[in-house]
Amino acid sequence: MKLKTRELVAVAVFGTLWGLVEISLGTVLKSFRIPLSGAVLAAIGLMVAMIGRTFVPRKGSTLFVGVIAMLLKLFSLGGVILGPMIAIFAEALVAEIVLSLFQKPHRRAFLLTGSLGVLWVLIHPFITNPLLFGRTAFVVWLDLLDSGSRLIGLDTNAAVAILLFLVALHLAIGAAAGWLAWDVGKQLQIRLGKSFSPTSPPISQKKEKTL
Amino acid sequence: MKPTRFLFILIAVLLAACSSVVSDGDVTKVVITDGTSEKAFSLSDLEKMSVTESTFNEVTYVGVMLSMLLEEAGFSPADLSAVKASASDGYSVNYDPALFTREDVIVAYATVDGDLTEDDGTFRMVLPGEEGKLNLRFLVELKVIP
Repeated sequence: MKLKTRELVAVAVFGTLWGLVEISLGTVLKSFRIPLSGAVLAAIGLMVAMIGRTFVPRKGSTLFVGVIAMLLKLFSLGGVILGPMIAIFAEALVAEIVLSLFQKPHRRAFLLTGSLGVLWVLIHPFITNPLLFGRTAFVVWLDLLDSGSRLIGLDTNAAVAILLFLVALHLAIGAAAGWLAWDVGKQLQIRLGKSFSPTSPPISQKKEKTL
Repeated sequence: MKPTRFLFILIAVLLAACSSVVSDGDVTKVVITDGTSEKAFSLSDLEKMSVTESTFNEVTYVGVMLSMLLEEAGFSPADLSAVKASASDGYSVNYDPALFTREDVIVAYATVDGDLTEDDGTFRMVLPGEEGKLNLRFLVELKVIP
C-alpha cells in the first residue's frame, strides 16, 4: 500500500492523537484504578482511529494509526507498558480487519468496529497475562469475575450473569464510540469542504504524488 | 426512538447497574476460607508462627509464609488452583500456584522496624518483585479455590 503525503500526515496525526490519549488519560485512569478504564481508553482510541479512517479510507490505514499509537505508548509513565502496547496493536488490528471486510464502510461498519475493538479489552488479558506474566488463564478468569462482581455487586458465583453484563457493556461502549466516530468524521469532512465518502479518497488528494 | 438515544440509554442503564462493593471485614483478623469452612487468625496467632522476612519497595516486612498459613488452616497448597486475597475495602487479587507457593510470599503483620503503617492495615500481602497491585494491603480474607 502506497500512501500519499497528505494521507501519511493524516495517519501520523491520528496515530499521535490515539497515543497521547493512551499516555495521558491512560496513566491517570490506571493510577486511580477507575473501573472500565480499559474499555474507556479503547473506545476513545478506536474513535480516533475510525475518524482517521474517514480521512484515509485505505486498507491498512487504521492499522498504521494503531502502530503509531503503540510506539508512542513507549513514552508512557509507569512500569508495565508491554501489555498496553500489545492491546493497542490488537485493537487496531481488529478495527482494520472489520473495516476491511466492508466494501463500502458505513455507520454499521463503524458500530461493529467499535464494538469488537472494545470487546477485545475483555479477551486481551487471557492472551497477554499467561504469555507475559506467567499467570494461569484460570486466575485471569477469576480476575475478570472479580472486576465484574465489584461493578454490579453480584457474587462471583453468578459467573454467567457477570460475563453477559461485561460483554453487553463493552459492546455498547464500543458501539457508542463507533456511532460518534461516524458522526464526527462526517462533520469534519463536511467542515473541510469535502464530500463525505469514506470509500474513496477526497478529490483534492487524488492528484498528489505517491511516496 | 433514535438509535443514538437507545445506545446511550443502554450504556446509562448498564452503568447504573454498577455499584461499589465494600466489605465490612474484621480488620484485626485474617480469615482463610474455602467457602464452606473457615479459620481466623489474629495478630497474636501469626506472631506465634515461624517468621519470614520479605522485602518490597525497599521495606522489609515480617510475616508468615502464605503457603504455611494455608497449611495451618487445613488446606494443602498443592491441591489449590488459586488463592484470592481480599482487602477490607472490597479490593481483591487472585494468586496462581506459582505465586502462592513461593517461599518469599508472606502475610505480613510488621516490618523489621516496627508495626505496619496505617496505610498497610493490620495485615498485608508481600510479594517481592511483583506489581504493586498484587501486594494487597488491609488484608482481611484469603479464599482458597480448589
